Amino acid sequence: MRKLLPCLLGMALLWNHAISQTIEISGKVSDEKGNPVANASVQEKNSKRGTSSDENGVFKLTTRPGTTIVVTSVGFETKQMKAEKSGSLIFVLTATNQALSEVVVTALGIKREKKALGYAVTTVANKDLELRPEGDIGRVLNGKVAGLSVLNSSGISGSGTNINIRGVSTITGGASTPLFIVDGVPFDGGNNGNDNFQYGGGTSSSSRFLDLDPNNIESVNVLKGLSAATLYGEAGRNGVILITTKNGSGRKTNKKLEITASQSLFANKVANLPDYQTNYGGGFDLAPSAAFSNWGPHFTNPPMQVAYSPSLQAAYPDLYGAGKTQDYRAYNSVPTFFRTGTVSTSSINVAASGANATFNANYSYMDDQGFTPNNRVFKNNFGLGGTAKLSNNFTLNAVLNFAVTDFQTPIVGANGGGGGPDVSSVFGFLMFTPMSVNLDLPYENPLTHGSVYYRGGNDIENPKWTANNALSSDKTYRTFGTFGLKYEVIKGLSVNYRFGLDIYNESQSLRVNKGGISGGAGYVNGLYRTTNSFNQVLNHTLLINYTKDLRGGFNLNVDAGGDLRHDNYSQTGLKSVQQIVYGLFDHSNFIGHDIKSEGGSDLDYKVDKTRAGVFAQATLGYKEYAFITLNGRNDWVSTLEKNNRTLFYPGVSLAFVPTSALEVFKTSSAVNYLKLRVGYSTSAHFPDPYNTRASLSLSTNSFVDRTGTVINTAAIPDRVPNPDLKPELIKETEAGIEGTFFNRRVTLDLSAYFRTASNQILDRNLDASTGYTVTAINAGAVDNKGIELALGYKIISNKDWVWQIDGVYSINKSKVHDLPTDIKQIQISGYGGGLGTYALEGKPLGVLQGNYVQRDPKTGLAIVDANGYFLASSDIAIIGDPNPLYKLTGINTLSYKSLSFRMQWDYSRGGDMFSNTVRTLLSRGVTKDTDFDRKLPYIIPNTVKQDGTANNIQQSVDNIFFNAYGFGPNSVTVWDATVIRLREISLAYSFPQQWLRKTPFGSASLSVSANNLWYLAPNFPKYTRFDPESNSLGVSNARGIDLFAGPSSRRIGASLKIQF
Amino acid sequence: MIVFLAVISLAACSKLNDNLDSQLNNPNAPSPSAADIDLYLNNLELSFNGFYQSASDLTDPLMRMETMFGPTYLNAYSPSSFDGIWSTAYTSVFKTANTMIPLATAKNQFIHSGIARVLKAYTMISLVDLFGDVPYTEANLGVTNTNPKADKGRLVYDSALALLDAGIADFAKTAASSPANDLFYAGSKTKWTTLAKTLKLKAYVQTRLVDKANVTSKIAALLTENDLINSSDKDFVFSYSTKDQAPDSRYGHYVTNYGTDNAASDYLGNHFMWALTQEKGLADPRTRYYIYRQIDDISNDPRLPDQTTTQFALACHYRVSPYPAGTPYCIVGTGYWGRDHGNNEGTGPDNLLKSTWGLYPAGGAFDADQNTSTGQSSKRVAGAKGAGQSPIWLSSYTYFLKAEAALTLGTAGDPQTLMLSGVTESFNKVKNFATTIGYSLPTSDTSKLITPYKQQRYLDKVTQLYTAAGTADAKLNVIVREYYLAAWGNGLEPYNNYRRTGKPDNLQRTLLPNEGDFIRSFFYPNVYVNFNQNATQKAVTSVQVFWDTNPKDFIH
Repeated sequence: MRKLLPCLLGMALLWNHAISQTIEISGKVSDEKGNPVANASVQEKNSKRGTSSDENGVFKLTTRPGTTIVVTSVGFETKQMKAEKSGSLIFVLTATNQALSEVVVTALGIKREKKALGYAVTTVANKDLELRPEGDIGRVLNGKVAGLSVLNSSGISGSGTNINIRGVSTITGGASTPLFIVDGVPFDGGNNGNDNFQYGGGTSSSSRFLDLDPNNIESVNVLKGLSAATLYGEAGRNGVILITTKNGSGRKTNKKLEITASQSLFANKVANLPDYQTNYGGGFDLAPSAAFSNWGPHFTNPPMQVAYSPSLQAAYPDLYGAGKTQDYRAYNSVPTFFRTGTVSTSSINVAASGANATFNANYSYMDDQGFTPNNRVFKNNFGLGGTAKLSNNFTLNAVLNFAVTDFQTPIVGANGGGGGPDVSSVFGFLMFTPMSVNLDLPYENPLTHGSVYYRGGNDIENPKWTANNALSSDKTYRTFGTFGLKYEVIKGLSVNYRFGLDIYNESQSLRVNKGGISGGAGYVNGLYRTTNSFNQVLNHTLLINYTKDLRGGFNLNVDAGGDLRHDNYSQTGLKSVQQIVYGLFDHSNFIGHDIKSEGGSDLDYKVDKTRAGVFAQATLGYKEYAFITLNGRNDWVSTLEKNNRTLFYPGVSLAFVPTSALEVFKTSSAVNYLKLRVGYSTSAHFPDPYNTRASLSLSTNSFVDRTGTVINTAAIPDRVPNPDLKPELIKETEAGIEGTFFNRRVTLDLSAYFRTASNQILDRNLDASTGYTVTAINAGAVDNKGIELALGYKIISNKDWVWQIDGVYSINKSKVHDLPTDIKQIQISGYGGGLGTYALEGKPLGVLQGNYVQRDPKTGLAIVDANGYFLASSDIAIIGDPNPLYKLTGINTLSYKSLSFRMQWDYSRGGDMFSNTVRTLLSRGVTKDTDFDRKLPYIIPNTVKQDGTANNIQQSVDNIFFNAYGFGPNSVTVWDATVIRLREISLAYSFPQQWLRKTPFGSASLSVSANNLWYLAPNFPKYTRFDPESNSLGVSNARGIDLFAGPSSRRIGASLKIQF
Repeated sequence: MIVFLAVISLAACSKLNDNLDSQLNNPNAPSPSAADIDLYLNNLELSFNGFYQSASDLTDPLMRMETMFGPTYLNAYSPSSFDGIWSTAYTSVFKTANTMIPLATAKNQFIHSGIARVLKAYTMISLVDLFGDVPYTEANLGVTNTNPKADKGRLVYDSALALLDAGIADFAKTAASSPANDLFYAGSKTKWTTLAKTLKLKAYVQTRLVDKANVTSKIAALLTENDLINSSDKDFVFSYSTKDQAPDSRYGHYVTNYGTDNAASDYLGNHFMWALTQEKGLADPRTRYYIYRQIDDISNDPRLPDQTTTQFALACHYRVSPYPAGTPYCIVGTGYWGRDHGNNEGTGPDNLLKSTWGLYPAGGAFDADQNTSTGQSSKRVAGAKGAGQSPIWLSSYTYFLKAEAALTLGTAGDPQTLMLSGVTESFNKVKNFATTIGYSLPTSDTSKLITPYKQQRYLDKVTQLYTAAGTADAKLNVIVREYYLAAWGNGLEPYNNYRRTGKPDNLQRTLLPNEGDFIRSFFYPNVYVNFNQNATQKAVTSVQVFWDTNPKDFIH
């Protein structure tokens, strides 16, 4: 019987063949990994008959025996096979050499083949952006692009984010945030803090790119160098982040993939609390007391009994009054202060496409609850867009996005080192809470609502009171979008007009109830500051494109055009003080009103800027392997006087593809693709407005005398205007190699650049004896040189398994030079004349200066004073360089069938940081770093007395830590900020197609992910567990100073995405 | 066609340039031509008072009126401590004065220009007193000279004296208008003239060690003319008000010690309180006006229930005094709770306990044994709500200077009589202060107030001390000590006196035995040393100003 069956089958086939002379093919088309290829065209060679593969790559075709079947699909090389008889044919398609055909979006939305570009462009696809624990696109990009440096200001949800590309090129020109271009038009990514860092200006206001929804992004292209950004002129000098939203992408969709819905849910926890010791309690000299410091006695069993604080006794006489006592023991209060927040993101995207039109709409909602009580961000993003190709050679596209971002946080003011914060601040008194303090006790007097805390004089603010009564908020309504019309005049010549719009209304407020303690009279009697700002960026671009194939293998591509951009920012605001009724925030509920912020800056102001430019770019290609591009732009800017307001920036770049040019590579499997490129380009930096003309400074309500007369004043401002101010000049040379090797297993993208920014617009500090304190001048230069390397290695790639490792390495070194000889230093940020970041001749930009320990000239050992504490200098000098030596990211992707695992490690080497958090933790004796026998006297090791003899001055440990570290010279508390971090880890599962076949779903995936799961900053004192990824100086060019910016965030959760 | 296009594009470019031009002017501030001379004068007077107050606050720790943390003189002040006063002097006082003098002169507004000259002169003299050589001839030239060189102190003094004469000449002219606001003398030319002449007296006495013959004749001439601040109605003071917000117009020491629930944050100097209450063996009747005690008796107060609490709030109480007997230490009497010179310990929880600024001149509380803190909401003592006065130059100061000149230079008058007039002027000033500022004292108990009997008893005691003093130097000690006690609220004059005369000769030394050289002039400010190529920081604290020719270890 077994032999009979094949025989019968064979007979039947023969019969069939004999009867009809046709065969039935049931085939399958798949890629090299075995994934089905849908919509592949399956045709008989030399005939129009054919079919296409379905969702699962399967097709059926009736044909004649001996016919050659040709299968083609976009992105794959064509494959053909001869069909001899009925049965199944498996077509395994090989991906085309993508490197040769890859098209990327470049400046002004111009699409170019990547091989023709003479500069670096990095693309990040949506799969690396969506369903992330962070809703801030800046933070999502961290580590994913070589040369892009991202630094959070704090772990507070919604706090500002610093982004820099290729270092910082300007000394005092403001934050070097790159230009954001969304769907082809400028998008404001700034930060509108109403106060300086001391008042929490950096951490309490968001970077406005927070208004973007990462889930709605189709792709991000990062243009790093000036060559890439020349067409944007001066606006692109800090690099460009080109974002294409799903609404603006005009992509075509398939059936069952028209609606995408996703839901993510993450837990948001504090990542890095110090390891507190549990042996000693609050006090000093081993005596218990209500000190800030934790230098009290050893805990006992049973615990010693101590009275409640006078303020608590007064507030709750029955519960905590006279005679009532509490245990003097380790309450370990700090962890209980924090909560686990949840971050939920829901998103839905609907796409439709026809032959000549596409349409896309989406909506997403994010609710991000911070780990700090009352910190949260709500985001609503709605957008729609579409493209239509009309029959009369016009193409229309339009995108409109609407975003509402609502951010709130307890105020995070700076802690300058005087023991407590300069102003009200939720972290200011929290992190070093003495072990014997119980934060679970009531924080508020039930009658007055005033803060109640452990100190005898009730002279510090309970952090719980702060978290509930001192809130900063920022609500933004934003509309941005574009309208574009393209007309194809003749084949190869098109005219494109684009109008861009970005309008937002931002309302910020600071609400501090009366009854607080910190910040002086202006805070404790209640404070209400509101500002309403309106920002508008309008942009018109006209672009003409001409493409022509010339004789002899040449090809010409010309883009030319002009644009006009107008920026307008206006703000009104009011600060009120002295609240009448607790809890109500309305200006009428306050007695005093002022038009200045707590830090003294004007709340009412407006800024207008206009920039017009014309530009042209021409690329001449030869036989698809050699390309030369010349480009140039001329700008006219409104912030400078007529003679200095215009500037021309030319650029040239070359690209050469040896793998296409040379025969030797054509058959090589070792070198699949290789491109060499080199470019030179220029750009400029124009100053902020109003630096060239004199004005008068009027101040109203400066004083009220005894008779009630209000005194107003006029002053000549301390800034000297400079009518001769010119733009900064930036020049950059970059060279690079791109390639794929060893059967496309290895990919390489290497760039090296040298950038010099001369004629710096410096805010030059003047000695006040000149009558002024600052003026803007053109002087000095900043060089930045660096290497960006992205290396990918596909270790395994087969039907079931893919294992890929990607590495991103960035190194950037800066140097300040050519400062005028009569300028000793320029302060960039920090406390005036003291601790801060500076520009110094011949040094890297932004070195830290502060006062330092005096050292013995002979031995180099630190000198102590008569008390045995570090002898501080009376001047300042370099105490550290906050610039990291290099940054390295490793991304490991491992997938097995539908399961994929991804891990991102970041390593930042070097860079110094002055940390007030660590300084205070040590000096107050709360962490395990100071968990030693405190009865023994202490001499600071390796120190000498002023006469050079060995230090033999004994002190109690608490005096040493308190005075030598807490109030010692700045240099004592600078640490190396090397940090290694497991930034992201995720496990994703895509449901197999065959499971979904009978469902309405086109695809479904589930992922579990976490970020900031683990980190180690090994050079900080071990138990402080400090995370150096923060910046108390907010969104600025300055780095390396922590003034209690707060801990970082860790997020763990899951996401589900379905398409139907 | 080409011509047409060229015309269009030229027109477009010109339109664009106009549009760009229109955005060059700052829309947020008026143009300098909008300046009003009265608004400049307001700025000048407020800035000047700010300068004076900073000078006083920087110097009173050295004079043990408030505490100096130290612990040594080298550590007591960082150069950045002086950035503020330096900027106020040059960018506010001098710049505003320099801007308004020509404008005022052009419009015959001679009172305005005269005031500007006098206030500028006082500021110049005081800058030299604080720092020694400072930029003057090359100063205030803006970007024309970004590195002004320092001038000799002597030259700056002489320039200031010339300015005072120019100011006096201005006041003698007929002015087109009076100032809209004059926070010092309500536009009185007479009083401004008197002030200018008194400031000349101050400068002459100050320079008596280096220019004895010259100043003797000049002082004699001023005494003959006798147009000096010799009664309290001519006092040069800045009066604060009780307005507490928007803007806070109260006396600075009031704000820091009474403004919030945190109560007192300043530490007063134990030596000054001891000199008031103990040194003479009888309590100075001005004490309750000067100093407010939050706690009357530390040994018997429920706020300090046990040793641990006391020890933490007042660590020195359980330590042995490092000083020789007869020197104040830790607590003066039973409740004068300040700090010893150069005590740099951390701040204990003593805001609600330690002694603080009283009614005079800070506008705080009169000490009527309230035994109540200045903090803690409902029960707080608020006193005169901050309506204090900066005692920049009082009639008593004039008498003490006259006494010193009579004693050391032989100018007209009896030193003893002049000194007693100084003490009497001071008593009258303090006694009448509540009325001056419109405040009712919380008590009418004469045992707490200045009475004619107590005033006379005090004068008798001073007379007795003066008579008992055997040498001119000892007599000078008595005079300058009375000046010191009368100058409460002004650190600058006692600091000048101390360096010129070495008196009072028994100020409390620092807690550390080796305090280093006394600060004979301050370090230069950070902003000067760091931003001016021609500036060199002083290496030591013992650099003397030009009028100080006393020996190196003369004072501590």
